[in-house]
This record gives sequence, structure tokens and C-alpha cells, in this order.
Amino acid sequence: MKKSLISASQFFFIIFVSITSLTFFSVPSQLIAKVKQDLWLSMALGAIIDIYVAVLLYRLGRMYAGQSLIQYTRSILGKAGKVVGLIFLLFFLCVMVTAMWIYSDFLSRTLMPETPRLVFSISMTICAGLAAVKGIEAIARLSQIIGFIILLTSVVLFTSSIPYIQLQFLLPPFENGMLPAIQGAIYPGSWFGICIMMGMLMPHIKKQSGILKMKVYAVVLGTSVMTLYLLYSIVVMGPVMAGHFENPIYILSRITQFLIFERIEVLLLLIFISGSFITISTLYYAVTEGTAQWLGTKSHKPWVYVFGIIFILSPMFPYSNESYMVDRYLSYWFPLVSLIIEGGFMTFLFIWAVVKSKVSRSSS
Amino acid sequence: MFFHLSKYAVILSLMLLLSGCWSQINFDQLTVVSAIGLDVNKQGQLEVSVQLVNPTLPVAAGGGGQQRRAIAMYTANGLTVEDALETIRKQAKKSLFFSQTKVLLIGERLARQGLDDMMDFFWREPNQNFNCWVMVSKQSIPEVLSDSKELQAVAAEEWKAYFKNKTYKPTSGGIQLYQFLPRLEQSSFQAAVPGLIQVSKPSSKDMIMEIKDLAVFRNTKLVGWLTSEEAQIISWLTQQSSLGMFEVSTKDIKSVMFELKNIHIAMKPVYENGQLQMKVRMRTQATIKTSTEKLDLTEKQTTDLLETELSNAISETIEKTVYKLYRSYKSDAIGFGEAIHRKAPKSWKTLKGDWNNKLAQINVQSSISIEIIKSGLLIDSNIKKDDVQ
Repeated sequence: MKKSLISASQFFFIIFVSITSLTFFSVPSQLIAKVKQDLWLSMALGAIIDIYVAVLLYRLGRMYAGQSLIQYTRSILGKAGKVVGLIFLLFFLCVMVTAMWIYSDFLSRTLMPETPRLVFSISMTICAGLAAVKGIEAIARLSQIIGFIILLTSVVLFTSSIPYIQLQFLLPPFENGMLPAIQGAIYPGSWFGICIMMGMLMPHIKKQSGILKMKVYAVVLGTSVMTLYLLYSIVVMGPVMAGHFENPIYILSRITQFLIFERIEVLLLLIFISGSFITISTLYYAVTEGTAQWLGTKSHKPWVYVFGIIFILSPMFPYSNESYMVDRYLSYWFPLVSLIIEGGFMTFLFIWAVVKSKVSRSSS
Repeated sequence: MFFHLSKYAVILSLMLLLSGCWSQINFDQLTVVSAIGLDVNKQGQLEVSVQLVNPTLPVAAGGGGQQRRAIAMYTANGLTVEDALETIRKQAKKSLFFSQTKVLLIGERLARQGLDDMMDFFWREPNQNFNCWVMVSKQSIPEVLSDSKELQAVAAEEWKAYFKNKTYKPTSGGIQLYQFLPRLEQSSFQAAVPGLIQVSKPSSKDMIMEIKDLAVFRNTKLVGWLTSEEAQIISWLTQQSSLGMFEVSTKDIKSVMFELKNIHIAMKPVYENGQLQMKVRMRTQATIKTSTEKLDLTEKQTTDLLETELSNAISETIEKTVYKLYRSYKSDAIGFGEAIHRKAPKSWKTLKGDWNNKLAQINVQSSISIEIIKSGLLIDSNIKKDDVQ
């Protein structure tokens, strides 16, 4: 099978779109209510965590050129690598199910209250599944278009809502000390860290040397845009109002005007829905290809169908309507587990690989 | 083979979508709500009124001979807002579309009882307009919503346009729902809402409404009213507007109307002898709009006199307004608490517990610097009579 290749700038847009759309759907509810005006620090720390993971992934990817995350985990750790690889795959799966759940829950609560959640998950799974079957090249090309649209509308939205802002809402800085902001970093940190799918994409990128630079640019740009969105929702509505809502950015888009147009939330949602489509299809591709590599099957396509059923059912998972469980999961268990996997496992893997290469060099 | 077939199965399943969407709303069943009114009736029950827009076709589209009411008004009682709206839906037989609501009108009686349980609907309801303007009405709301006459057919549209107009901003004190809702919860910056008051004219049936005065809230309860002149001070202090008109009339000057521009104002918390003080510093440019007095601005004396008179008058009004708010109404509708919160978050933590009662002890000092600018069409800004030499 011909290996599909993407360029570095396409990779840039995949990461950028993933970060913005994941932040749009999952971070605001936890971050704004808890950290309020200091959230820029949390976002910056989240970006730093992600860049750290990216450096590890890049070094590992260069060490084991042409291998994906799942493949070199096996090369580094041997038999135990199979288990670690499985954990990575399960993590991808869990992220996707969570992202899909948040996405369909949000849409059914705001945009189309009477539509069952399954409709959103089915339509998204079909689209993302088709993209995943077509391979990473198709996804990458789409991400260029969507990434550009996200950038453009964000800039226009920011400039056109300048009359609404009241900068004094950002004061006082660090009202309750630095601690809440630092603790808050786990939310963006854990969601951005999904970019360990970079480990799955690396073998597909044409020019290996520029990857790290592109990744850092994408993370910095994506975080800046989303930090602006979050801060805008605070300076327009005030921290009290913004802290009450599940998704303040959505409310922001309902309050502000876009040039002469009022009520532009549908436009904003459209953009971020297409952004989610890129994220979900990239993850979909990563998880199916990872599974294929893990089990040694030739093609990733059968797995698209297998996992599709899980994704379609993701809004139906048990406890998904018990807000107590959901809150515990989103604000505690998910960040904890994903930070352990993204930060802890990757560091461990990297150190192991360095030691192993040193040992093999000294022995030879 | 299986995968090939499943592809077709997916495509075929798309045909299910042909039967229609879940959340579709047909235009012919949809009515735009232009204003919502909340009040209590004589039995103490919540009374919700809605003003519905009845769209008429433009003349060019063949709507010339139409005889349709432009608006319709429905009222119902209920335990909650949603409960009453359910009744209204049955009366109007339409689905109500709240996303274009222009005005939320609150009856004075309800506001004095407190809005505690009513506002939950506006926080929760996904289909509503956070940009609608909030007003308090002294008249009965169903009457206001059905009988008030404006140049436009739908009165609420005219009210919204009034609030959006920059020249009326200083005195209208307009507040939108997204600003109003959080302020009901904050003691550091409480709500002040413009009033909608009937101009007394008993002969005609149509009601002429005036947007004036400002209803001051303490927490969720209305506690009193401010005049439009005081409302202007509030909108300067809250930095809603940097424009305004100010009239000075004293012993020395009969009556001079000033137009103020570029108002910069800052409230500063200061501790003096352990006592919290509020220092207001204001900087503005003033031009003379009209004068009943002959003023010769080429003389420095006149300019100086005008400046001191004007700044004394403004500072007196500021102090009077703030004391009225703080001592009579015990409500911080200018956001001084927020100013402390932003400047000294630590000392705010000790103050915020009983902020409403601490307001009475705050002293206000204001310092105002004014620059009088020549304007208008006259030389020397002065009219000289021809025969006077």
C-alpha cells in the first residue's frame, strides 16, 4: 500500500484546528468558572506542557524514524510495549468518546434542543469515518481550509466586538493567589495533550526536520486564539456572568455583533463543528491505524467500522446524564488520567529509549 | 463484500433524514416576541405579558390593503414564568420566538417584592436574547404593552432604538439583560434600571411613554428611584457614557446649559483615619449650548467664573447622587465595591460581607477639572446688540 504523506504546513493546520476546537468544546466550562481572569496563565502552562510532550515525541520519532507511536513503543519496551501501546490506544478511544459526548451534548442543549444526541454522533461518525477511510491526506487538506476559516472569523469577531469590551473585568490579577491558575492548567494541558496523536502522524510527514517547529507554532497560535476567545467572553460579560454558563464563548457570540449582523452563534458553531470534524477524524484515523499496527493487520479500514459503532453510541454511555458523575469525570478523572499518560508515560518512554540506545552503543 | 454493502446501507440510511428535522420551526407557526413583561397581579400571583409582532407585508409585495394589527398582547398568570408562558402559548396558538425580544419590562410592584425566583428562567432558557433591554414600568404592564403608541408600529422596537442612540445614553441609563442578570447577584455593583413612565395625558386613549428616571435595586429588590439628572451621574460614574448636558443656575449666573464631552472619571478608594473614602476625579471639556446670560468669553474672568460654577455644581450633584444611593437606598449601583475589589482585592474580602450596610459610612470627595471650549457659530460666543457700544 502506498503510504500517504502530508506536508509540514498541513500538519500545522491539523494541530491548530484540533487545539482550537477541543478548547472550544471542552475547556471553557471548567476553566472560566474556576480560574476566571487569570486563565491566560493556565492556558500558557497548558501550552508549555504540550510543547514539552511534543519535544519528547519529536525526539522519539526521529530516533525511530518511520515508526509510529504504537510501533516504537514496542521497539523500545519489547513485550511490555504491547501493553503500553494498548493503553495509548485505549486512551485515544476514551478521548474520542469523551470529545464526541461533549460535542453532541453541547449541540443538543444549545442549537437543536429537540434533536436526539444520537443524530449528532451518527452524522459525525459517518463523516469522520469516511475521512478516516480515505486516509490522512484527505483530512490534512481539509484542515488547511477549515483552519484558515477559523483564523479569519476569529480575527473578524475579535475586532468587531471591541466596542463591547470592558478591560477592567480582567482586574484584579491573581485574586486568590497563583494556585488556582496553576491548578487550572491541567484542563487545557490535558486536552492539548491529545496532540500525542502527533506520534501517529509523524511517519506520514514529508520533511521530518521542521515538525517540531511547526508543532510549536501551531500550539502557540491555537492557544493564543483560544485564550483570546476565553478572555473576550470575560471582558464582554464580566466574570460572574461568564462563570455561570457551560460555554461562555457561545454566549459571547450571541451577545456581540458581527459587523451589522446580530446573533452570529450559528456561524461560530458551524466553524467549530467543522473544526471538531477535523479533530475527530484525525483521532479516528490515529486510533484505527494504531489498532491495525498493534494487531499487525494489513489495513486500518476494517477498524473504522468496528470503532464507528462505539463512537456512535458514545452519547449513550451509562451515567452520561448524571451530572454528578460527569462533573467528577471531566474535572478530575479525565485530566488526571490524560496527564499521567501524556506526561508520565511519554517521559518514561523517552528516558527508557535514551538509556537503551546508550547501553546498546556502549555494548557494541 | 460486507464493507461494500455496509457503505450502501449507510447511504440508504441517509434517506431517513428526508422525513424532516427534529427541531424545525415553521415560519407560519412562529411569532416573534418583541417584549416580555413581568408583574404581580392583585392576588399576588406572577403575571406574564408578551407583546407579539404581527408581520405585515410591505406595500410593494402586495400588502397595501392589509388590515392587520401590528402587535398583539397576551397576558397570563402562573407560578413561574414558564408556567404562564404555557398558558399564553395556548391563547396565541403559536410557538413563541424569544430570540428577537427587544425589551424586558418589569412591573414596579414585582420589582419591589424582589426578583429572586423569576430570573432563573432567563438564565436557563436557551432561546432568548441576552441583548434585550430591561426597564421598570410604573404603569400596569398589559396596558403599556398593548396601548403605548410610538412612531413605529411596534413600540418595543422604538424603545430599543432609543437605548441604542448615543445622544440619549447619558440619561437613559440603558441596561441589557446580560449586564442586568449578574448585577442582581453582586453587592459590589448592583443594578439600576431605567423607568418607563406614562406622560399624563388623560384625554387620549393612546399612551405616550417616556423613558426616564432610574430604578435602583438592592440585591434583587427595587428600593427607590433616581431622577434623570442623577441617572446621568450614574452613567458617568459607571463609564457608560462620556457625554452629557448640564445646566448651571446660581445667583451670579441665571441659567447656562453646558454640553460636556470627553468625560474621564475615576473612583478611587482611599483610607483616611481608618475610614473608607471615595475619591472621584473627573476631567471634562465643556461647551456652552445656550445661555440666558450675556457671556463674554474673551475675558478670562468670565471663563474662570463659569469653570468654578460648573465644577461646583457638578461636584455637588455627584455627591448628592452618591449619598442618595448610599445613605437612602443602601445600594452600590455605581460599582464602587468593584473598584475596591479591583484595586485592593484583599481588603475587599473583609468588606464584602456586609457591603450594603457599610455604604452609609463612606464619604465622597470629588475633584473636577473643566476646560471650556469655544463652540457654536458666534464670534466670542457672544451676541452683541447693535446699538450698544
